[in-house]
Amino acid sequence: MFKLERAERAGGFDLHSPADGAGRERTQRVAGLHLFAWVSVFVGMTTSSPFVGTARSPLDELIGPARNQRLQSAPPLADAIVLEGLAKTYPDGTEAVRGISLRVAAGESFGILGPNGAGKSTTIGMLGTLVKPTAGRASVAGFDVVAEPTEVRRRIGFAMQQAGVDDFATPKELMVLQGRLHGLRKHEAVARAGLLLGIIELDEEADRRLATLSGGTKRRVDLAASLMHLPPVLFLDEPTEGLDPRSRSGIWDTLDRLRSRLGVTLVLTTHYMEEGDRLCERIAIIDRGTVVAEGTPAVLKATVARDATLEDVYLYYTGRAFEDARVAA
Amino acid sequence: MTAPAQVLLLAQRALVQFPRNPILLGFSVMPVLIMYLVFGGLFEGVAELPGFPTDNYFEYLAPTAILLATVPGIGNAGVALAADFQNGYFQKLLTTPTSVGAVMLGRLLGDCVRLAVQAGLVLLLAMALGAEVATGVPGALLMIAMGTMLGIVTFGAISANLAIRTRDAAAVQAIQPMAFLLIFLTSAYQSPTTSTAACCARSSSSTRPSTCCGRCAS
Repeated sequence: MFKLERAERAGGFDLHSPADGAGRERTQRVAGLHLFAWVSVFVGMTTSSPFVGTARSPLDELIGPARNQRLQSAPPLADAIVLEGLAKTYPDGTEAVRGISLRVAAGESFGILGPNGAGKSTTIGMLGTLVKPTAGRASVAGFDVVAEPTEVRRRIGFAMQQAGVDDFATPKELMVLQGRLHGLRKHEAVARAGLLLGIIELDEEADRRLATLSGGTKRRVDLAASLMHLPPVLFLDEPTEGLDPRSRSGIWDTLDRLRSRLGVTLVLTTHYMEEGDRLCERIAIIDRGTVVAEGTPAVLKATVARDATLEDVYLYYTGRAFEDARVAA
Repeated sequence: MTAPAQVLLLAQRALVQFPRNPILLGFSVMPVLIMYLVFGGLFEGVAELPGFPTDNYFEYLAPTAILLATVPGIGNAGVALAADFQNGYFQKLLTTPTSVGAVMLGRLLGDCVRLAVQAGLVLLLAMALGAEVATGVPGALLMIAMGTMLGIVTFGAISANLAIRTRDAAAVQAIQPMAFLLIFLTSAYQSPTTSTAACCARSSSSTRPSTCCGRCAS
């Protein structure tokens, strides 16, 4: 646009004397260029970043094509995850999970809170097809976790409590392999790995061996690898454990945007109440393998006390009384 | 993605790892070379025994050296699988549409290529020490391929299964000496006509194998 105006001022186009045929032709050409420029700007505004005039962010680039594919695919289910009496008893007799029933809506962000050994990781492990349930049933994205584990795995991303990375690989290699195992073509996987590494701010470490990176960095790589195929359902077992506040905040932002832009269903376990409050629309508090409370953070807080925090709710339901309640008693 | 394509990807991953782990490469081939050279030199006199199939003991030992490179060497595949379990990467792979079988086969296939290269190096050493492969290059390749396959279907399968069951690299490593013991029970070391024990039984009461074999040869 500015270039066109400069050209007009320099006398390159005679817009005000269209009497002769050549002048009219020039005028039409310039008008056509103006129209083309405006259409380009309009198309850009409607299909890319809402921040007109700025470059598209790596996340936008990542999400764009997947969003279109997602919209063209089958309509989302009402409940992305359904658990009915799900239980797990280990061979030594330990009852890790005792008949949990839950529903997580498609696109919802659901948190599982509970003390160590409450059964959070076992529950999420069963949903991720890593642990076989001994009773009950569960479905993820419409597929049974026991009968159709491969279909479930195609539709989930899973970042585990222990960063599952290959120390001999580089972050880029690890992510490309993860993407390719999910069926991405090599060039797609390489491009997506590059974008994700940019999002988690690990561009500079992309080609360093994972063995040389810190535990927190490995966790970020693990999380990014889980996003390679842009799964509709994402399981995160203590996703920001061991991360510094800045990295944690960055990951929360990324998860927020993935959820809002792609409609990713998020299920996460966490010890951080702030994380639960920030990311989760609904929360289940698990203790000794059963759900002791479930609801939105606001409702849960209201059941405990006015002005209660999520930490108060957690302490209240997992056995330790809320401080004010104890004082009142 | 098809299962064979997944296996190839995972084998490729294993192959990329090897040059980054020089200790694995070094220590999986060094014992074989040392044993080959030490046993070959120590029992060189055996080749002079009447009726011994060849006049070069290094040549006689070459196929066994290849087995020593491949059969115990494939145990590293089990160790690597167990290490993947311990650092959580195996579980990570299982969250993709990949089967346990594909992960195991991918690792075994990757190690298979490594062992074939190592076995080839051992064979080249044997040839430098005077061994000849009567059937030429095809025979040499077949020998390497058979040694590698034998490693996979025997010790490779055992170590990979043990890795899946124990999920402990140390436990898998602990069974590796068993592979050496099994090879020492083969006819290369235990032939009734050429074994050190038989030789000693026929000669004096000496317990030093080299002396014994030297006497037998004379």
